[in-house]
Amino acid sequence: MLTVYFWLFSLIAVLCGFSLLTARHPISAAVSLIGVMLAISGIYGLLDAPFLGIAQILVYAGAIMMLVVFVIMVLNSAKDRTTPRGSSYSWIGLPLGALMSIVIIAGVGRSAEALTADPDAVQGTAQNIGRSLFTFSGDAATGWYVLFEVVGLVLLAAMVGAVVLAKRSLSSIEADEPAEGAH
Amino acid sequence: MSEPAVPSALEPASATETVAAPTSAIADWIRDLCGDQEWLAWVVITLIGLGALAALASVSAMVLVWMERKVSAHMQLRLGPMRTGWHGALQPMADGLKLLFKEGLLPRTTDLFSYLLAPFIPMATALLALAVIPFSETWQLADPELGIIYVAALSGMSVFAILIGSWGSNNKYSLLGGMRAAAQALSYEISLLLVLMTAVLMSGETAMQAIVQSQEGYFWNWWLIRAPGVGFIAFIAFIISATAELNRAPFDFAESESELTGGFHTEYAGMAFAMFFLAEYVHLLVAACLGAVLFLGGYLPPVPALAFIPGPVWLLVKAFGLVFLFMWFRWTFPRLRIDQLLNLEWKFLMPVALLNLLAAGALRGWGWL
Repeated sequence: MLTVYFWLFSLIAVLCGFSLLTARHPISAAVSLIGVMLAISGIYGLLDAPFLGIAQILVYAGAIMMLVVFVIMVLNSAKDRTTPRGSSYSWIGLPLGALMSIVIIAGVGRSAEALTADPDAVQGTAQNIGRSLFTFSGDAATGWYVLFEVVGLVLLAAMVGAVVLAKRSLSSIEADEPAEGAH
Repeated sequence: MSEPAVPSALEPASATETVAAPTSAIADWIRDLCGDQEWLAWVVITLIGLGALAALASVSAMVLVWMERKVSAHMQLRLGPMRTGWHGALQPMADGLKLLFKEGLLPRTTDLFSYLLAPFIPMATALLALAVIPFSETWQLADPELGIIYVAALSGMSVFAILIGSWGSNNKYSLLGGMRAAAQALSYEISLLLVLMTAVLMSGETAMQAIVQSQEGYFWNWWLIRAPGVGFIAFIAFIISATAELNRAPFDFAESESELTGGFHTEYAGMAFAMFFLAEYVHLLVAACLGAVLFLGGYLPPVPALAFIPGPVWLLVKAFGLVFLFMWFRWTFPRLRIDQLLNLEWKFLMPVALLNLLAAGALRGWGWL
C-alpha cells in the first residue's frame, strides 16, 4: 500500500511542480507550490517522519505560503494575467537545473545503500525530536536547547529589524494618525 | 503490493504504522471477508470511512443550520422557520435543494483557476479534521501521533480558500473580505496554537485518543477543572480564538454583510456558495468537538456511573453545547472593528495565552498535574 501512496504523492508533487513552472499568474504558481509542499509532506509521513511532515504543512504550506499569497495579492492585482510564460532569463535556469538534477541523481545513485533506512533507527517522531533537542543531562554534549533558543533569538532580531526598516520613523507614523477622539 | 518498484527506503514505514489502522469490529469483519485480498479490504474500509465522514458532515451541517436559525430566532423573540416539517426541521433540506438547483454563475472577469478551486478547499480541510476526532475508543477514522498539530495545520490551510476565492472573484468587496480574513486568521492562529500547546502540555500527549484517556474518571478530571485556573483560562482563550478562526460574529469580518455585501463569497452562487456555507458549519462542529476533546473529557461521561450511555452521545452532547455557546455569542455581541479585533489578539489574548502556557509548564514541572 505504501508504494501506491508513494507514487500518488510523487505524481501530485511532479504535476504541481510542472504547473508551478508553467503558470502564467503568480497566484496560480503559489497555489501549485502549496500542492508540491502538501505532497512532499505526505512523503515525509511515509518515511516515518510525521513531525517533519506536519511541520511542513503548518509552517511552509500554511504560514509562509499565506504570506506569499498575501504579498502577491497586495502588490499586483489581477492585471498581469497575460504575463509571458518565460523570459530570456529562464534560459539561464535551464542548464543550471539540468546540472543540479545530474548532481542529485549521481549523489543518490552513489549512496543508495545509505538511503535504505533502518527501521530501528527511525528518529522522526515528535518524541524523538523533542528528546534530541531538549535532553538535559550531566553531559554538555546532549541536547541542542541552547542552539534552539539562539535560533529563536535570531529570528526575533530579524523580525524587529524588519519592523524598524519598514517604519520610516515613529514620529511620522503618529503624526499621520488622527488624534484620539477627533471624530 | 508485492512489486519492489519503489526504493526500499520506504519499506520500514510498514514496521511502525504512524496512522493506526481502524480496529473496530466492522473493519475486522471486512478484513476477514476479503481474506488474502488485503488491498480490497483497504479500499473498502477507506471508502466506508470516507462515506461515514461525508454523511456525518452533511447531516451535522443540516442540523447546525437549522439550529442556527432556531437559536437566532428565539434570541430575538421570533419563532424562526415553522412551516416545513416539525418546527421547521425540514428547512435546511429545502435550502439545500434550492441551492442545488440554482444556476452556478461564472462572472466573466474572474480568475478561473482560483475561483473554481476555492470552494473545494474548506470542505476538504473540514473532512480531514473530522477524521481524527475520537467519537469513542474505536469510533475514530485515524489517530495520528500528532493529532492536535495536524488539526492546527488544517485550520491554517482552510484560510487559503477565503484568500484565493476572494482574490479570484476579482471584486473589491471580496478582496477586502479576503484581506481581513487573512490578517485575522494569521493573528488568531498564534493564540489558538498556544492554547492547543497548553492542552498538550497539561496532558502530556499529542494524540487525540490519548488526550481523552488522560481525563478518565469523574468530571473534575477534565482539563477545564483539573488544572487550577490554567485550564479555565485556556478554555476561554480557545473559545475566543476559535470564534475568530471560524469567522463567526463578533469576528465575522470576512463576510460582514453590512459593510462588504457578502464579503469573500459575494461572487459565488449555487453549489459553489453552498460548499462554503456547508464547510463553515462543519468547521463549527470540528471546533466544538476539539474543545470537548481537549477540555471537557471528549467521549467520557462526567461520572463513571453514566458509562452505559455510549461515547459518541457524550461527545455530541458536549460538542453541541459548545456550538450553542458559539451561536449565543453570534446573536448577542455586536461586530467589532478590525483594529479592535487585532488589538484584542496582539495586546491581550496572545500575552495571556503565552503566560498561561508558562503557568501550565510550571504546574507540570512541579508535578501538580
